[in-house]
Amino acid sequence: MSKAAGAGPSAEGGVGARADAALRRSFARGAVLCLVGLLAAAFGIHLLSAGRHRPEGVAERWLTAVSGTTRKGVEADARRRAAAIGDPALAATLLPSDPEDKNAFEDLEVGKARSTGEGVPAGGVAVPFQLHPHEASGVKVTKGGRIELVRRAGGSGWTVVGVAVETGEARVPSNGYPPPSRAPSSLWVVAVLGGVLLTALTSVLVRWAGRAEERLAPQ
Amino acid sequence: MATHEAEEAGARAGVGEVAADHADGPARDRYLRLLLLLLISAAFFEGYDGAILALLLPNIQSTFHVSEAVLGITRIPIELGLFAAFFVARLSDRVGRRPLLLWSVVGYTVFTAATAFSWNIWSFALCQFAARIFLGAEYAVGLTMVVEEFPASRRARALGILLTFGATGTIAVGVLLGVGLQNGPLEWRTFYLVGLLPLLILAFSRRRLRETRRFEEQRVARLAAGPAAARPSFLEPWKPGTRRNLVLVGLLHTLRSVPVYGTTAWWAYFAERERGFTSTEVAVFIIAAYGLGCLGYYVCGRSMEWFGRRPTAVVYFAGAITFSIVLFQAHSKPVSFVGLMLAVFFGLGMGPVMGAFATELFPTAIRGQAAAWIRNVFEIAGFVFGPALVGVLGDHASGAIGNIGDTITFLMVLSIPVVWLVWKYLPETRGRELEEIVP
Repeated sequence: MSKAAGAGPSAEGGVGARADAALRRSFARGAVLCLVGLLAAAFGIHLLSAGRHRPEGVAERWLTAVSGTTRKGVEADARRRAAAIGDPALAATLLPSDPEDKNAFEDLEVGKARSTGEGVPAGGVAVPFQLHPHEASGVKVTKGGRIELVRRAGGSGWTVVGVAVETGEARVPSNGYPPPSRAPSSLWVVAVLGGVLLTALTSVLVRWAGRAEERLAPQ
Repeated sequence: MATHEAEEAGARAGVGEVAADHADGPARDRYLRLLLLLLISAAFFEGYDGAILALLLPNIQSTFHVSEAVLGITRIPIELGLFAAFFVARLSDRVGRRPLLLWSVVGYTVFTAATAFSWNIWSFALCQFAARIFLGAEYAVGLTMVVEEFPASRRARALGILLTFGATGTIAVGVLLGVGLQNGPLEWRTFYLVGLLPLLILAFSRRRLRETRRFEEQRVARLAAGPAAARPSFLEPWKPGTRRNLVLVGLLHTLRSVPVYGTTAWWAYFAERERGFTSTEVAVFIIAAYGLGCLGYYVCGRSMEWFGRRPTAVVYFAGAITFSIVLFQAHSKPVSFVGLMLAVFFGLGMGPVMGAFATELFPTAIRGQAAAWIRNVFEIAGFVFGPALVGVLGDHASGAIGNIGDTITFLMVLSIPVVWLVWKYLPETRGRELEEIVP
């Protein structure tokens, strides 16, 4: 079975103590490098996302907050979040008659915004939506239409200014219409190249870690 | 000196008893079955406890009247419990696997039950933080015990069975939600009170649970080395003899867990908001596809025995990437169902082979510590950052990609070359006793 000393206990005396101290220093440097790397990645992601305010996402957040205005225990917070984007009262026609203290909507979906055509406010956009209100009766009702948004003063962000329920098929992705956002083709090239780079980096780290002693050779 | 000699003599005498207790034969087989049964019950409730928070968070939020912002903040200390578990899990190399397993079960059961009595969101977060420390430690020690006690010919299968039951604990929460347990007088608290069951099981079975043979032998070896023999230090697995395997297996765990846990955390949201699933469809998909997909754990265990760890790991990594991409790009619901089932089958089902690499490649003296580093630092980093990364990049309003499906697909494409790393660097350990793998 296992050898007497195994690979476990540190060596006795000065040599072992110096080796342990060197290992602690190396580990601390490595930990700091990892932390710096994480912070750099977080900053990079922040830069990539900075300044983006898609009206589709804003409309979806507003509907999600409105949905919470009927849920027991979170009504006040939900009303505040909805009001930060647009008057919750605008969604009155969407709310169920008896949500049973649950979320007003069992599910919701938004489509790609359009800046021209019927119902688009001046200088704004209309975002199609489709949702299912939660009814105590259990009857499934589908409501669809558009959320009307305009840019906030100052240019950043959007405000909900209107809601219209429409008959007919809602222009949302599950009905075959375009999604609010898609990744550009170039992203897939970045993914492939990034994967190769990540693998190369991992390979370098593994080889570096094993340069002192190969415990096990690959079969 | 006399005290040390007496200790050594006692230890050697104890080894004789240990050897007799652990001798191969029908009694040993019965004990291994009992051991697996005990660990299965622990694994089941580990999966159960972990799933409660994910599935009942809206109910908890309603009870405590907390805002979305506060709810998000409380997730941070709760998930940090899995990191903190590292400091408990590594103790198994010092105090032994058996006491740590028993105390981990006691710990997470007590704090899970205490969660049922929490009076505000902060007491809830504190109890869950503590519960996760012991849950994380129990997982690492359970894996170590299976690997150390089962012979080479049955080790992989035992790992597969163990982790399959961890997954069924998650499904059990879904089923209890489906029958409306949360609508009773105690609401979501009932789920946490059910978590007391492991204590009952433990009360009846703890006397029959033994320390692992390999740890007992290691303890004798340490005593024989004399009082100058140091206990494994905090950085023992980072020393030259084991550093390469630690870095390799650790990084593979991180590279796997970032996209896989990002997928599991965001699929339900993606299904509703980007594919128009109703809430009923999401629930049915999760129970059915997830339930079938959990067979992946068992098949992984068997596959490791039949074909080996490396081919199994390569196939599972490739399958996880392929079917996750299918799942998040398909628009057809039948295709999505198959995609979800196979993404779970391969993505989560590769747990046994990852658990094998995290334990088999390290000597007994530091196996517990190595498993703690890999599970509670490397893998949990991905568990925490994966969902966060998907949420930030895929956010419909502000995300750089703005689409959850494409964000997860991006992370999966990024991890394709990882399959090469598995084939190139990981050794094959099928059919080899632990002492042959690491002399």
